Amino acid sequence: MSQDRPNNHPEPKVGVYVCHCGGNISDQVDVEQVARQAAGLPGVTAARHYSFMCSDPGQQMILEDLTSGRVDRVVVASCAPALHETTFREVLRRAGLNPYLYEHANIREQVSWVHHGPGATAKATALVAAATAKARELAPLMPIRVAATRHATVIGGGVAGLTAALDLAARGVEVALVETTPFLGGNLALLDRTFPTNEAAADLLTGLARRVLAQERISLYTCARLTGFSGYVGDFHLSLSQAPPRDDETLERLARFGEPGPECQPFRGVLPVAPPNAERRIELNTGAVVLATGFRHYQPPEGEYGYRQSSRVLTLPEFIALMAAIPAGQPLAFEGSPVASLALVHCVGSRQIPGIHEPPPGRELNQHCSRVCCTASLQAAGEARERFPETTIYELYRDIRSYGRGHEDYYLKASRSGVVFARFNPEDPPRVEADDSGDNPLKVTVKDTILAGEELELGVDLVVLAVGMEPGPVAELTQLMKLPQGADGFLQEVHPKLRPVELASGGLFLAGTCQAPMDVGEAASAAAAAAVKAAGLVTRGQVELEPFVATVDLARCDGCGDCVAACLREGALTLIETAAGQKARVEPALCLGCGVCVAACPAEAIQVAGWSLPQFRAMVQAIAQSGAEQGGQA
Amino acid sequence: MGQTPFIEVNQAIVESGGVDLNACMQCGLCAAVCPWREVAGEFLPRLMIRQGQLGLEGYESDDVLFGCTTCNKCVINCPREVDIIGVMRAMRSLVVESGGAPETLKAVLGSCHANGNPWSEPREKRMAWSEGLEVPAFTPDKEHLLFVCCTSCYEQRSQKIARSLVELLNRAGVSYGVLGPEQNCCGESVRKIGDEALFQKLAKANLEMFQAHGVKKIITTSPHCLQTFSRDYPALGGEYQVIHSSQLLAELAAAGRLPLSASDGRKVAYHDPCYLGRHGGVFDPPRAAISACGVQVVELEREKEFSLCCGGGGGRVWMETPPEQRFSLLRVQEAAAAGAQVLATACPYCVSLLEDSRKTAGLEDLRIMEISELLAENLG
Ligand SMILES: Cc1cc2nc3c(=O)[nH]c(=O)nc-3n(C[C@H](O)[C@H](O)[C@H](O)COP(=O)(O)OP(=O)(O)OC[C@H]3O[C@@H](n4cnc5c(N)ncnc54)[C@H](O)[C@@H]3O)c2cc1C
Ligand code: SF4
Ligand code: SF4
Ligand code: SF4
Repeated sequence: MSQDRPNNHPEPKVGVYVCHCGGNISDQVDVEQVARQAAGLPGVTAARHYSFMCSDPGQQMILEDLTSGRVDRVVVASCAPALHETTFREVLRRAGLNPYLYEHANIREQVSWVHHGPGATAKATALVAAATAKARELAPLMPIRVAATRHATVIGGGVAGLTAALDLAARGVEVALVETTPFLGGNLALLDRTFPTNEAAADLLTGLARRVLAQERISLYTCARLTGFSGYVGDFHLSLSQAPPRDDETLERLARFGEPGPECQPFRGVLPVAPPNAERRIELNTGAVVLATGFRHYQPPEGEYGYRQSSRVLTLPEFIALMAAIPAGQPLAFEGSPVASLALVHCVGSRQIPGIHEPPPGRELNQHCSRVCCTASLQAAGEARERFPETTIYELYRDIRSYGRGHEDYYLKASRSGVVFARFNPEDPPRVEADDSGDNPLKVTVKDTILAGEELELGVDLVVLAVGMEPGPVAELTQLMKLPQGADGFLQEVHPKLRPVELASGGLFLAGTCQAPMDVGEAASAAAAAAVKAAGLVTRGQVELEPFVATVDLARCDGCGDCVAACLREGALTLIETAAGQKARVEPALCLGCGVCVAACPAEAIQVAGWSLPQFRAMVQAIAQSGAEQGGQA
Repeated sequence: MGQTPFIEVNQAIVESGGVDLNACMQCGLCAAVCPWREVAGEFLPRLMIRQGQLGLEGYESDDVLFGCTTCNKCVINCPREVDIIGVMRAMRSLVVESGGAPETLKAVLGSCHANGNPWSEPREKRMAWSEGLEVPAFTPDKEHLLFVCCTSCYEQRSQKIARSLVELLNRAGVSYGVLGPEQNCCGESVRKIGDEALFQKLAKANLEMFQAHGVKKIITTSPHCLQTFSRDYPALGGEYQVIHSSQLLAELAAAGRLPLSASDGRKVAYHDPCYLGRHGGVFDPPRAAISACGVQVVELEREKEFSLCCGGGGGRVWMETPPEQRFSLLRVQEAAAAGAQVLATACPYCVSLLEDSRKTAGLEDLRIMEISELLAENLG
C-alpha cells in the first residue's frame, strides 16, 4: 500500500465519476453523497457525478481531468462493466494514458436495481471505496499480442460452410474446408426447388461448388474428421484424419457419380473430388475455425403418426423427393397406386412439450420451433395441388409460422390452390391408423380447433410428416473443441444479439444451422458474418488479448508445481528448467485468468495481472473501513 | 364419430363463383367486424366459410347462410382480401338451386320471375308512384334514364323518394325520362339471394331495354341498382354511364341549378348506405348535397367505411328479424343520441328499415328522410 510505494513513484491521483444513469441509479442511490464520500478518500483528486457518464459530455468530463493532469487513473461507478468498461478505458487511451489504469464499480445491477433505501447508498459508497483503493494499486498493463496464422478452417461443407469458405478466401485468407462425407451441399442437396425464390437447390449448389473448386486459396478435405485440436486463437493446431468411405449408403450414393466435379446431382449433392483410397493424417495450423456442421432431420420413432408402421407415412424430405421423381404431367402415385388424398402434419419432432411428448431414450425433447418446416410444407402442398389437382391435400398444423420475406406467399398460394387446413392442439394430435374398411388405406383423425373441437376423419393414401431440425451429430467435435451447446443441443454463441456468430473461446465462429434452425438465406448470412469476423482476426497478423493472465514472480517461485497441477486449462502453465532451477511458466494466450493457481501457490509467487493479491487486500480493507464508518454514522 | 369432409361441396362452391373459398385462413376478423356481433346474432361468416371449405352441414339455415346482409364490412377488412360475399353467394346458390331458399325469399324470387319486381305487385302498376306528377317518358333525345327502384315504385313510404327526386330534376331542368312497366328489377338482391339464373334473366331483359331505347346515362334511386349496373351488367355487355341520384343532386347543387333556400337549420345526421359507401366508395357527394340546404350536419360515430348496416341487403329486407336484432334499431337510437332531428340517407331499403325502427323505438322527434326528400322540402 501507499507506505510501501517507492519514493520515486509519485502518489497516484484518482478521479471518481458517479453516474446517475438517468434515474436508474440516482432514484435509489444518493449519488451526490457517494461522490462527496469519495472526495474524502485517500488519493482522490477529483470526485464528480453526472446524469450519463457514458455520454459524450460525460466522457469529456473525464478526458479534461486526465489531460489537465488533475487525475491519472479513473474509477467510474455506473452500470455493469460488460456494458461500458471498454468505453471508459478508451477515454484513458485518448488521453494518452494506459487504458488499464481504470477500475469499474457496478452500482446499478449490483446496487440500485436490487437494493432500495439508505442501504443502497451505503453499498454504493463501499463499492466505490473499494474500487478507489484498487485503483491506487493499479499498474499499467500491456495487452497480450499473439501472432495469428493467416489461415482459417471451415468445418462442414453445406451451404453455410461453402459460403464461409468463399468469403474467407475472397478476403485473402487461406482456407481448409473439412467435410465428413465425400459430398458437398449438406442437406440443401436433398431439396428440390427452394423457397422463397423457387431456385433449384442443385443449381444453387453447382454455382457455389464451381466457385469453391476454382478458388485456389481453398483446400478441400472430404471424408475427413477432426481428431485433434489444440492451441489458441490465432494459432490453433488441428489434426484431421481422412479415410475411404465404407458405409453402404455412401457407397451406393457414390456409385451414381461419374467423374468428380462441381455439378450437383439433384438429391445427391456434389462430388467435388474423388474420395481418398487410403487413410491419411493431416496436420493444420490455423488462425480461426468456423463451425458449419449443420443439422439433422428429426427421425420419428416407430409409431409416431404411424411412421414405419405403414410405408405410406413419409417424412417431408422423402415426399419432396417422391414428387420430384414423378414425370411432368403424370398424376401423383405411391408404390404404383394413385394418391387421391394425403395429409401433411406440421411440427413433427419440433415444439415438443414436456408432459405431452415423450423424449426418445437418452435424448432431450426438441422444444424449439424448426422455423423452416411451415414454409417448406406450404410450398410442397401448393406445388402438389398445382401439379396434381386430382389429389386432395389436408394440412394439419398447430400454428402457421411463415415468418420470412416471401414465405407468406406460399401460405396464400397453398390456400388458394385448395389445400384444406385444420388446426390441432398439441394435447390432441392427429391420430393415424390403418383403415381396411374405407376407400383409403389410412385414416387420420384430427380435432379441428377451428371448428370448435369437432373431430374430422380424413381418409388418405399418404401421410407426410414435416420433420423438424435437430442439432447435427457433433458430440465428438464438442468434446474435442469444448464447444458450448444450448439447452436445445445446438451450438451456442456468446451473446445472441451483440456477438451472434462468435463462441466464447476466441477464434471460434458459428455459421448456419449448427447454431439454430435457419433457412438457406439465413445460413448464408450467418456464414458471411462468421467469415468476416474470422478474416478480420487472422488478417491483422496478430491478435490482442486482455492482459489479465497469471504472471510468475520468478524470485519467489520454487518450482513446486502445485500451480501446474491446479490449472484448469491444458497448456497454460508448465514447469521449465532455468538457470535458477525449475520455475513455473505461463502461456499467456491460453491462460484463462481464473486465479486457481494463485490459491494453490504456497509461496505467493503467482498473481493474476490486474487482480493481484495486494489489490484485493486494498479493496477488502476499504470495504471494511467504509462499513465501519457508515455503521458509526447510522 | 368424427365428421368426414365432403370435398366435392368445396369444389362446387368454387365452381359456382366462390373462387376465394379456400383463400380464407380462418382468422375470424370477418366475424368480429360483422354487424351481427352488435346484436349477439348467431351468424359467423368465418364459420360459414369453414363449413363450406370442409363441405360440412350446418350453414344452410335461414339465420346463418341467409343472415348475411352483404354489407361488405368484412370484405374490406379481410386480410386475405377474400370476396366473402362472393363465397356466400355461391353457397346460397347451391342451396337455392336445390329449392332450399327461405320461404319469404321464395315469394320474392317468384314475383321477380312473374312480375319483374320483388314486391308481388303487378307489372302494370310500376308507374303508380308518379300519379299526379309530370314525369317524362324516356326517348332517345333524353340525356338520362331515371331507373326507379322497385321499392320506390310500389312501397308507399318509398314512393315519396321518387316523387321528391323528379320534382328536383324538373326544377333543375335535367333532361331525363322513365321507361315504366317495361323495366325489370335490377336483380341485385336476387343475385345475392343466390338465384343466378333469375338474375341473368332480369339483367338481360334490362340490357335489351337499354339497348332498344338507346340509353347512354342512367340515374338510379337505389345504390343497389347502381352497384349491379356498374359491377355486374358490364360483364353481360352493358355499356352506359351510371350515377346515383345523390351524386347528381350534389352536382346540381354545386352548379347552382337547384333553387334551395339554404335556411334549414335542423340537425341532420347522415347514414351511409352500404352499397353507396362501402361498396361504391361514394362518401362525400351525399354529404355535399345535404349541406346545400343549410342544415347542421352531425356525424354519427359509425360513419363512412365504418357505417352500420341497416340490415336490408342480401335479401334481408324481406326477411323477418326480431326487433332486438335489428341493426336499424341501433342506428336510429344512435342518431337520436347524437341529437339529430333528421336521419338522412340515400337508399330505399335503408329508409324502409330505419322508418320501421324509428316507430319501434318510439322516436317521435326523429325524421327519416332520403336526401331527395330533404332537398325537395327546401326548394324555394
Ligand atoms: C424439409 C426441409 C425443407 C427445406 N426447404 C428449404 C427451402 O426451400 N429454402 C430454404 O432456404 N431452406 C430450406 N430448408 C433449410 C435448409 O435445408 C438449411 O437452411 C440448409 O441446408 C442449412 O445449411 P447448413 O450448411 O447450415 O447445414 P447442412 O446442410 O446440414 O450442412 C452441414 C454439412 O456439414 C457436414 N458435417 C456435419 N458434421 C461434420 C463434422 N463433424 N465434420 C465435418 N463435416 C461435418 C455435413 O455432412 C454437411 O455436409 C429446408 C429444410 C428442411 C428440413
Ligand atoms: S416452422 Fe411450423 S411446422 Fe416447423 S416447428 Fe415451427 S411451427 Fe412447427
Ligand atoms: S376475414 Fe377473411 S381470412 Fe379472415 S376468416 Fe374472414 S374471410 Fe377468412
Ligand atoms: S357482408 Fe356484412 S353481414 Fe355479410 S358477413 Fe360480411 S359483415 Fe356480415
